[in-house]
Amino acid sequence: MAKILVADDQACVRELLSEELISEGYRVATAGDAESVRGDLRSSRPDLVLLDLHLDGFDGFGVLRDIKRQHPDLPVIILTAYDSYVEDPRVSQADGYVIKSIVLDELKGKIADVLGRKPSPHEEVEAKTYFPRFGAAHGF
Amino acid sequence: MPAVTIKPFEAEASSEERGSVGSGHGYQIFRCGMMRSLILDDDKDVCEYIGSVLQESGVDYEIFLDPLEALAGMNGGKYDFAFVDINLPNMDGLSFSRRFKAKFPDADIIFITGYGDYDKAVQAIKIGAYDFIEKAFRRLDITMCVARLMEKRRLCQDQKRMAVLEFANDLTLELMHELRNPLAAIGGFAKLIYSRDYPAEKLKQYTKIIFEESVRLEKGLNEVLVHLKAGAAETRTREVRDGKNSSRR
Repeated sequence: MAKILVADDQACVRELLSEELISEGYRVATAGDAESVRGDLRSSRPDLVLLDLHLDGFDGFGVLRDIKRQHPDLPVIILTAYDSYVEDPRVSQADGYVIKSIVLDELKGKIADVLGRKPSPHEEVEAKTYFPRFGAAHGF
Repeated sequence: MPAVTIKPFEAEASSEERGSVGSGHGYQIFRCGMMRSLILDDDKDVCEYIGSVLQESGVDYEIFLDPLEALAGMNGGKYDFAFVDINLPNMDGLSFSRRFKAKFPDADIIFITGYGDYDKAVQAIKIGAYDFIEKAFRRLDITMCVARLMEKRRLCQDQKRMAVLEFANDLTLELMHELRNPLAAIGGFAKLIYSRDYPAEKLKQYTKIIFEESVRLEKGLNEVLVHLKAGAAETRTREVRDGKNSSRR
């Protein structure tokens, strides 16, 4: 099952999202600041990042830019309390933009949509490693 | 205080739509309610000439022939701009303008200069005069000057309005963030508690989060109230100030 990195500076948000996503069958890693995000990208190797735009004083767009620069195929969904950023051109770097809400249906739907849209980078590596012919035949 | 002299312009000033000439502190006052100008020159003909052009442009004006009388008479109102003769009896135009600007910092000053007053005019511009018109000026010179002033005022008002809108927008965004975060946490954990069977320790932990986020939510709401009250108080102050000015007109 896909692994999701929840990056939010609020511990309760990380706890809440972990509970919800684990119950959906995902594996979850969490990070509370920009430095932890960078570390978790190396150690946890997530298939998707849920990124808050305010990470303990860090500009979330800067973190997003770094993630996309180093892991261009790793999907990132922005999860924020600000609805105005949706018009910010930097949002286009992300694979989704979801406003924080009590009801998490939209977020869950977006995660399923993004993960279902393309194979995760690690599944891609596994396909290339273990099924080279299959991978080659399918353009991997 | 000078005696109030009312001298209606011929062919004008009788209609309410066109404005009316009435009593006040100055030698002559015209009111129609858009902008307000002070005219200060010891030459009555020059004052009336400028006044007639202002009247055509829909600008209220008050004429003073002496700077000391102007200083004494301008205490009750607000002026948007002033036409000031640079060579005045009893006090020179630059000194008067400094005192005028101290009282009405947002008002613009247009100096009326004579032939050879170029150095004084340059000095006037340096101390913040908006413009100067040189005698003998034409009606078009004054009309153009007033048009530029009105355009400048309109741009300033637009900028102020934009600044207020931007401030309100920033404030709303920040408040949305401060309210939405705890609300999402409260609702989310409440849903977890009622929809799942958690051990007592976990229930205690989540209930504590709900309590803490409720406190944060209340704090956010109180901040909203503080901002709204501050905004309302500022609006009231502005209305009182503007009302006072308009009632004076």
